[in-house]
Amino acid sequence: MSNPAQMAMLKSYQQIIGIGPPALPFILEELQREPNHWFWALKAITNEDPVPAEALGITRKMADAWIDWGRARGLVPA
Amino acid sequence: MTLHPGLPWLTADNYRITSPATFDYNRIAFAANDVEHWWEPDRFWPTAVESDYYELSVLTQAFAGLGYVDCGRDEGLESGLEKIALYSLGSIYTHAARQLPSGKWTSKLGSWIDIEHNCPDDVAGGIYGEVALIMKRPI
Repeated sequence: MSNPAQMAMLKSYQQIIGIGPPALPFILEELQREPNHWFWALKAITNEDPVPAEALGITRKMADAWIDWGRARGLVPA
Repeated sequence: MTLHPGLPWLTADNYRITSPATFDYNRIAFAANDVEHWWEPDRFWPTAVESDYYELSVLTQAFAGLGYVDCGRDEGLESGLEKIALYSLGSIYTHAARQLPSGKWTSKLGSWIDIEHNCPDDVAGGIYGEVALIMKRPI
């Protein structure tokens, strides 16, 4: 329920970002379950943003874009 | 009994739950009457973002762009006007609530539920910090 800025400052959130790419399959799996909170971490770890402009702000579509991104890289089961 | 430990001033007699939890929109979008987007400066934002993403000034500029003007701490109901309350912890914005035509206020609690509450301070005093200012615009 916290502000995303507050959440990103949490030690646990920063630790997940600190894990780096090995955390991606777990983050993407979590994103499939609950489509929120992970966009900041995904961008920080990958330095990419696959979300198309028309999907910005639409949580489910943003999650789908990241899941598709992960699937294309073998990080999400087909 | 409080609804959430992070909202210590919310008590059984000053709020009611008005909708179930959803990830479709957040507190800022809800204050702006948008229930289709999640408003964050790096996701979806109605104005250009110039500096630190979560600065209170970024939020006030966004609502100014929607026609709201600063009215200090005047949270009273005024005919023909819609008011919003903006919250901050220091200079970081945390929350926004919207006044209803009844004079009560409504808030979306992050990715959780929507509630109706009696006054802006009901959701202050905890994780949302304090009411920083009230803004208003013609309905």
